[in-house]
Amino acid sequence: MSDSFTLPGLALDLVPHYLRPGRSGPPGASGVVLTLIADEDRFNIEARRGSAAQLLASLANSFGAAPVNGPKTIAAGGFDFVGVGPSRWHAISRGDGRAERRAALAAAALESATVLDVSHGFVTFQLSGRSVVEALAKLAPIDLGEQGFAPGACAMTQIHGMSVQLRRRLDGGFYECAVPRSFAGSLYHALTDAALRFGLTVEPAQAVI
Amino acid sequence: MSGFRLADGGLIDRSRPLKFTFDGKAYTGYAGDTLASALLANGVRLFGRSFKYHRPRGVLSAGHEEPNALVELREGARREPNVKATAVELYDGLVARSQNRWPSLAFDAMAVNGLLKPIFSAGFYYKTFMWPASFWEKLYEPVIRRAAGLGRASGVEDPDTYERSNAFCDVLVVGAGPAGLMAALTAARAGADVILCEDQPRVGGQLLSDREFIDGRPAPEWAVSAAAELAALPNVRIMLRTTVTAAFDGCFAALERVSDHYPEPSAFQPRQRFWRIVAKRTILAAGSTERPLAFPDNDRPGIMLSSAVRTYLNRFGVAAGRVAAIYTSTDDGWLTARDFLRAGLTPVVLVDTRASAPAAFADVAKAVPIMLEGAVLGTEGAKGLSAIIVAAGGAQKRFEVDALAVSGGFNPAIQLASHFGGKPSWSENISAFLAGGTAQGVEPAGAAAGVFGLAEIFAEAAAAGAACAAAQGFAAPAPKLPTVAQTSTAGSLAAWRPNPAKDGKIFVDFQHDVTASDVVLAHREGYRSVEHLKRYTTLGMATEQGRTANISALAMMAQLTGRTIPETGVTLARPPVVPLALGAVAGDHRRGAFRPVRETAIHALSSEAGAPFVDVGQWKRPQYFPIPEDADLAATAAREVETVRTRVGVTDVSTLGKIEVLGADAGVFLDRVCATRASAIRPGRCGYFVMLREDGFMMDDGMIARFAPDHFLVYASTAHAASVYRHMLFCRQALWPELDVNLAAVTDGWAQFAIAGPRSPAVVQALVDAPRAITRTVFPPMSAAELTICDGVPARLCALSFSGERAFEVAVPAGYGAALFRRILDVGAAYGIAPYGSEAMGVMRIEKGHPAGSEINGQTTAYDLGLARALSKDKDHIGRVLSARPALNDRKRARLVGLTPLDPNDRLRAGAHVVETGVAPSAASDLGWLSSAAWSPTLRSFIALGFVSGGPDRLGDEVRIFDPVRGGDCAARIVAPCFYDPNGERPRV
Repeated sequence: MSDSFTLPGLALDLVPHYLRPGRSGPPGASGVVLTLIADEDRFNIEARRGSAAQLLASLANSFGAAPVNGPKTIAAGGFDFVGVGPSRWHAISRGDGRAERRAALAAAALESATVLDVSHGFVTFQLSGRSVVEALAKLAPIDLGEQGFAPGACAMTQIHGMSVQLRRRLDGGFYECAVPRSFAGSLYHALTDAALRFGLTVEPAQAVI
Repeated sequence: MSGFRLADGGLIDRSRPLKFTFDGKAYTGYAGDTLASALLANGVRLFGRSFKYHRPRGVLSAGHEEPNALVELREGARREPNVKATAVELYDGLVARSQNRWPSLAFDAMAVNGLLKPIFSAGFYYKTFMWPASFWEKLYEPVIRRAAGLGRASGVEDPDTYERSNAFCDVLVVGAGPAGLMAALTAARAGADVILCEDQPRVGGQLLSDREFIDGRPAPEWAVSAAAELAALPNVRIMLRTTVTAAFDGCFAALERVSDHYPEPSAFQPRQRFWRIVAKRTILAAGSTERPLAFPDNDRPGIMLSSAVRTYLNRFGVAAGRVAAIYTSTDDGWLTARDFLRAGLTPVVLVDTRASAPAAFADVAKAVPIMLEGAVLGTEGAKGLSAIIVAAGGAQKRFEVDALAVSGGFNPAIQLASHFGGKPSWSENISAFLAGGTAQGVEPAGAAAGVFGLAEIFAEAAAAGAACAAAQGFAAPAPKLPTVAQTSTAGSLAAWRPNPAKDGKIFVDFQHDVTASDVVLAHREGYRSVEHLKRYTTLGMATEQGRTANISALAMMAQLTGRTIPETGVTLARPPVVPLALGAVAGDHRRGAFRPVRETAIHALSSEAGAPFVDVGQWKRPQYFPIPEDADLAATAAREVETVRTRVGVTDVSTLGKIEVLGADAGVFLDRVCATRASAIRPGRCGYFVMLREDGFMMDDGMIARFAPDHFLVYASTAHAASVYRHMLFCRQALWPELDVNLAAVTDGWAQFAIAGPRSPAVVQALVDAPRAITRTVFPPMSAAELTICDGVPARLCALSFSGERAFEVAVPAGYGAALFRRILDVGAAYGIAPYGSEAMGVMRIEKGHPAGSEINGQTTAYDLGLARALSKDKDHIGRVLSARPALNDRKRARLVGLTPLDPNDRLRAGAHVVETGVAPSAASDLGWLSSAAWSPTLRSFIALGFVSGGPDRLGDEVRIFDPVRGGDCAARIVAPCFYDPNGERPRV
């Protein structure tokens, strides 16, 4: 896909119809802040048969670190490599310089993996705030405690019957729920309903890249 | 004493009076009361009427085991029936009403049922009201249901919200009585993550009810300090007003009553929260339930469990009555007598079924008249107890009392352990069932483990807490155990002997009005298994699940059959432990959030255009795009079809499943998965595929585009996309892991539109970037390409036709979907383009005879659908062998055909039967059914696809379309399934 500042001839839909920016819930400081991550790069990387070791070596060589097998995040070369299955990762990239990173990833994985651009297949909601764990605990049937879900942890789980990739960013305070795009409206409502009683701020989509 | 409230004492807050009403009458209680304690304090003894016989009933217990004091709580939409007054925390403004009585609680005309007891005995509905048979549904059942029952539901939607949540811990402690507190302290001090769930609004359990002293101070104070220590630990979560209600594999369910102690929830707060708790180890410290004793008229208001009497006395400062007696087979009755004495209320008599007085209660024996080896022979009273008749030593005596405390032993609360299926084991020592071994890391402790002495409870609970912590790698130092006075509640089952004259009034299951005579009847009629006994008599099937009833009934059946109680057996408790509101189980899954929905990229645009949506699985698909000139939606569909047939239309096909198949072995893989030869599809082309299940039946059909030698894209049908992908993953991972092929479902990543109609090439030409030409020769039907459109937007273009016209499917990354849809409409305006919905698409596919979800329904084969010729004969593939079974290739099978009514205006509907003409419709004359039907604006006739026995061999035959459910009956002709352009010439123009 293209960087946000070089849009081609069709406009990207960056403001989905379900998004309702603003403050809701009881008065006081918001316990949860929800942000739609618009226009990120997300690649599905899957090692070809018998090529996992070669892929990891190539990625390490290109980006300085290799992803690990398992539900963890490794930051390298401007990507967050998130383990989503055996020998399978999502490489997530945001901000400027994505075109170069994209090319580097394609080159590094050329011989040993299939790389699919799934940027438009997922919608990612970022959640933060003092009550974010309590709100997510209402939805996700996994242990979100410090030990069970340390910074960088990732889980392919379900929320309200939707397949959701839930991860905690390496910086610790931010959680992300990535859901197949067609479910985004339903997940948005599930997240906002769960967060409402803690005080919720939904940020305008324009505010983020 | 005002009412039955003592002048002082109790754990209530007398500085906080609370006003409430019961049956419209105003009362006052105190913070810390339950509804039951507050009503008792006000001298109310009559709480309700029994289920069948409408006998007056009071309070038996002080907890969830209450079978009698059921009320309707709150009003209007929040009215909740069958609430146990003993479990309702009193709040200011509480409104409660009695239930199951008419016209009033004091005078209940339905009490006449008691006179009809011989008719309403166990299993009466199997024997009576049998004639005339038609009266049962119309008269007998409605009258009986009205006469017997519980409270009234509000009948309107629950206005409150409910939440669900998840919690995780090393050690879950169920119950914060002495055992739970001690176990939690031990495990938490060792460092384990502990969740302590307590049903009550405060910790302490039985310590709140007894006058125990721990470490030299009142037991409730010790409980408070223990809770304070726990609350200060970062690894402990104390959950009050939370009942662990069920145990499942890997987790427990708990109900937190967040707002039940308020008139209504405060803003943004749920009424209840339903927890899923995952614990590595669990300590079951839920206490025990006291059993009543079996004696005639043992259900009068004023007769109460001994431990409940103490709870009201010590925790709530309420006396069960002004003049009390005690009837016991355990030491618990003696404890109650002692506490009565301390409160200045001397019982008039203590009747013990045992031969000797317990030595530890010499003080009681000195102060209270004692009758050993005694029995209560009967009771007196109209709407409450007024006297008891007692026999002992061959003599009978009558005592005028208004309260009788009874104790028949204790049942450890092992329900949660039983949920795992562990069979309870009988303990002769305590005459009760214990949890049968440790199940799934559940460790009973305290009274739940059959340990009743406080010192033993502390010691064993501490050991259990340490063991659970150690199992998680937390070493627990030996705790300093609190110093307590040793108490005992030893006891035995009270003997019961059949007595036909009295058994009809000995109530075993109070809530369902099951008496000893019902148990005798069940035995006489052969229902001697505990499972039969339960179902025949309804024993233990009420909301308190037989907590106070089961052992008494088992003891009776054991005596009747000459067996022991363990030989007689026991039924297992099933979830939930306490009644649950379904709203709590549903949580947020209500209204629009009942289930997730899937939206395409043009959902908002379609909605703005006024399109109604149809559910296709989880997808919301626009069904029509109506314009003001359309007379109705049928006209809309007809207009949309005509637009495609004559000009050009655009529709959203994003819901089609899209599965990327990549790798050197992609072609080999698809050849094995598909019954068609996918590897024969050249790069840059599309091909039709058929996929069979292992059993030879159709799984799906669709199209495959090949963009490169090692890159295929499978377009599966919307209905089968998930199952097809799952199947392909299974094949790849389990059947042929050696193949170099990767799969990825990318349905959500692409917005895809079909542009169909004779003018579609011009519209597509206006979209694609130069120098791509969209002509019949350069981009003929079945072409496929990855290209750019609209000045650089990456896209995929396939020349595919579902409508039967020249058509294209263009896909772009989903974020561009809405913009592309608008662009297509813009550039197509010059060619008369119009959007069309799933209805018009469905009409056109029926006109073309394409099978879809109604035809590929899991019961049909490629042969049935006329697709057998498409199957590859020279390679192996899934379903090949079993699809060749003779039965699946019988010409008489119901096979796909088209049907047209002889009168074009005769409406055909899917689901109608196809029968022979001139023969009465019957199963024998049934030839098949219509699977899809529509009005064809192209043919000006109703048309249908259907399955007819031997159908393709009967083209031209006349049949009858019989639709008795919807009143359809017409003549039709069997034709080939393709009604429109059978030679397929139009897509090639």
